[in-house]
Amino acid sequence: MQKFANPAVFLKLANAILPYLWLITAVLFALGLYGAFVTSPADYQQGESVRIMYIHVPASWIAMFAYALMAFASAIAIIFRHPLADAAAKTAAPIGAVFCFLALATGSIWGKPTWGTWWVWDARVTSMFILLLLYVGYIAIWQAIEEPHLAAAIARIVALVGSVILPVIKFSVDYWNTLHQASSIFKAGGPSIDPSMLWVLLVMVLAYTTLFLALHLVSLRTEIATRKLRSARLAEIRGN
Amino acid sequence: MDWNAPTAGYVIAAYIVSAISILVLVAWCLARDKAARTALAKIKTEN
Repeated sequence: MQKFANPAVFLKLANAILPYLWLITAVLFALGLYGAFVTSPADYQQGESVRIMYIHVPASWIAMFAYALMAFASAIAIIFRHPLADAAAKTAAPIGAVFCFLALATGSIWGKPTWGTWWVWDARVTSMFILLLLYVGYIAIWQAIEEPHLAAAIARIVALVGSVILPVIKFSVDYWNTLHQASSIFKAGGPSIDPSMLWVLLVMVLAYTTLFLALHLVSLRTEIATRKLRSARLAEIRGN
Repeated sequence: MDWNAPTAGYVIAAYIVSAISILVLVAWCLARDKAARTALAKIKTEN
C-alpha cells in the first residue's frame, strides 16, 4: 500500500491503467444504456419512468462512495501524514459533488411523475442535500485557504465529521417515514428487483464506478503535477 | 422503451441532464490535467 502511495510509482501505475479503465467504462456504458433503453421492461406501476433508476441509483452510490473515500483518505492523512492521502481526498470532492448533484437532479425529475412533486423535504432527499452542502463546503475550504497545510488540516476534519451523514442517508428510508422507496438491492432476503432490471442496474453501477475511478486517477495526476509546478516556481523565486 | 408514453419526456430529460453533466465533468478534468502537465513539462524543459 505504502509502495503505491509513492507519487512516482502511482503516476506510472495510473498512466498504465487509465487507457484500459476508459475502455472498460465505455463498454459498460454502451451495454448499460442498451439494457436501459432496449431490453429492460417498463415497470408495472411506474411505467417508463423506472428507466431513470439506471442513472439515479449509480449517481447516488458514487456520491456516497466518493465521500466515504474522502473520509478514509483524510483518516490516512491524519494517521500516516502521507501527502497523497490529502490529494486523494481533495480530488475526489468535485467529482463526488457532481454525482451528488446528479442524484438530486435525476431524483427530482423522477419524483414528478412518481410522487407528483419535483421536491420534498423528506429524510432521504434532505440528507442527500446536506451531503451536497458538505461537498461544497469541503471544496470551498481548499479554494479559500491559500496555505495548503492549513487547508488540508481543516478539510480533513470536515471530511471526517461530515461522514456521519453517510449512515444517515443509508438508513433514512428505514428510520423515518419517507416518500422515497426502501432499499431494494442491499436488503435481508436478497434484491427485490426483477433480474431483467437488476443486471442493467448493476452494469450501470459498475460503469459509474469505473468512470469515477478514471476521473479520480486523472485528477490525482493533475494534483501531483500542480504541486510539482508550485514547488518548481517557488524554487525559481528563491533562486532569484 | 415506448417513446410516446406520458412519462417518456421525464426519462429523456433525466438522461440529457446526466449526459451533459458527465461530459462537462470529463472535459474539465482532462483539460486541467493537460494544462498542468504541459506547464510542468515546459518548466522542466526550461531548466
